[in-house]
Amino acid sequence: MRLDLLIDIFFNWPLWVSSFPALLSGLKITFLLTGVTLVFAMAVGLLIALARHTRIRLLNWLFVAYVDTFRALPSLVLLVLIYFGLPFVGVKLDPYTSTIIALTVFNAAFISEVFRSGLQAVDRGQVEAARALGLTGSATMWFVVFPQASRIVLPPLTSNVIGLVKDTALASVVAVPELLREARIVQSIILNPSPLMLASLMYLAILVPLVRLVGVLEQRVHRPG
Amino acid sequence: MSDVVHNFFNLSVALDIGPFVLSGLRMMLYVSLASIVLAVTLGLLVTIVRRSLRPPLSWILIAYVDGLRAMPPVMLIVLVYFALPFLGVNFSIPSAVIASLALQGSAYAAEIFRGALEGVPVGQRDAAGALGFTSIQMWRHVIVPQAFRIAIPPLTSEAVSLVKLTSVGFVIGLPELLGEARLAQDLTNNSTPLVVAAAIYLAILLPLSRFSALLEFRMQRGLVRARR
Repeated sequence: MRLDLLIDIFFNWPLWVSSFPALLSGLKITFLLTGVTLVFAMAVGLLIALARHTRIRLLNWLFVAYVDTFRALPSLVLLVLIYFGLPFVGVKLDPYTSTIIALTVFNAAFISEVFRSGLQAVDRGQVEAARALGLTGSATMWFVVFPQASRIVLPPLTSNVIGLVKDTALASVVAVPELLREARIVQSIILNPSPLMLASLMYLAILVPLVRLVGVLEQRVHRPG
Repeated sequence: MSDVVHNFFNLSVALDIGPFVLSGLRMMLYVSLASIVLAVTLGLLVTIVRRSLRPPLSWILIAYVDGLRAMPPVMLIVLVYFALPFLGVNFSIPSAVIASLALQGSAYAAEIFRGALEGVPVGQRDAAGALGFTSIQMWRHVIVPQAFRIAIPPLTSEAVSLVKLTSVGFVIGLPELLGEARLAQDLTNNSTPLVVAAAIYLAILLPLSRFSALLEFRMQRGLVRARR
């Protein structure tokens, strides 16, 4: 395999420069999808975690079923069902909305489990001590439970964000112009896969540091103090 | 309401699309098994080579593991299927998916094996040495069996996610369950095939992920008991 051929096909600098603006606009959409989905998923996830904390049996079963279902189902299946299936009953959602709904449903399931384990991990004695010191219920939650839970929650939550960024690339299936889709479009115009390589490197530039961060955060949880 | 039943839960459509479901299932099984076997083998190889290399060279393998774990699966599949032909490497659709999933799976497997080897307490080595085990005996009878036990639950859950990821092959037209369901949807002009596909994914993946969670739970209980 010749090196100049390799460079021409994957690491073609002039083509990288000329395709950069298109990929950058794709990257913005990737960030947008990630951000919006994360906000929704965290809100829904927290609600589910708190609802399960109340130990109402019917509610509990319902959410266990929800969490199990969406942890097992591939996210692409739901996206395809929403975008290509729902129009049959007159529900036509645009690609962005379909993607955000599908990804929110999945990530809320994961995040609710993360939050729940975080809440459970805080020792009961901490709550009792806070109440004995005269803190109100919500003050106990805010100043005692949440700060301690957050340290436990941070590594799996970061893992979830990594998975979410990866999943946004699935939106290319329903023609959302995110990073992967933009790279494919440019590639098909210039007939050279350099944009695909550049897009891959962009994903790596975002995600490798996050993957490393999870490792660091995980070690910190195991360290006392 | 009857509209929803007709379009999503139509029994006669569901019965009609049997052949699609079967061929989709067969493809899913083939791609999953091939990529799981390749991923574990390659992951083992990466772990062994990584352990035997010194820093400047072992960084290459660290980059391999971290890079592949960070890459979105769709991106990798698209890269393998649409970019490699420019180098004269042409994969069929199933092989492109298998190659991508195996590469990515091998990175996860390598991390799992590395963690498992580190998880065997140092005291075990010292004890084996004190008992006069040779290095090979120590690996064969002390370290590998214990590391294997630690590795099984996370490996199972990685295998489950590889099964799940076969659906991403849809993007390059792999005729697995989702692809076949889309085809059947177009032919029947009805969305029931998509619902059937989702139900089958659940029927396969729910028990599998339950099973891997159970393994993890038992493993942890075993460890706690061993430490007492």
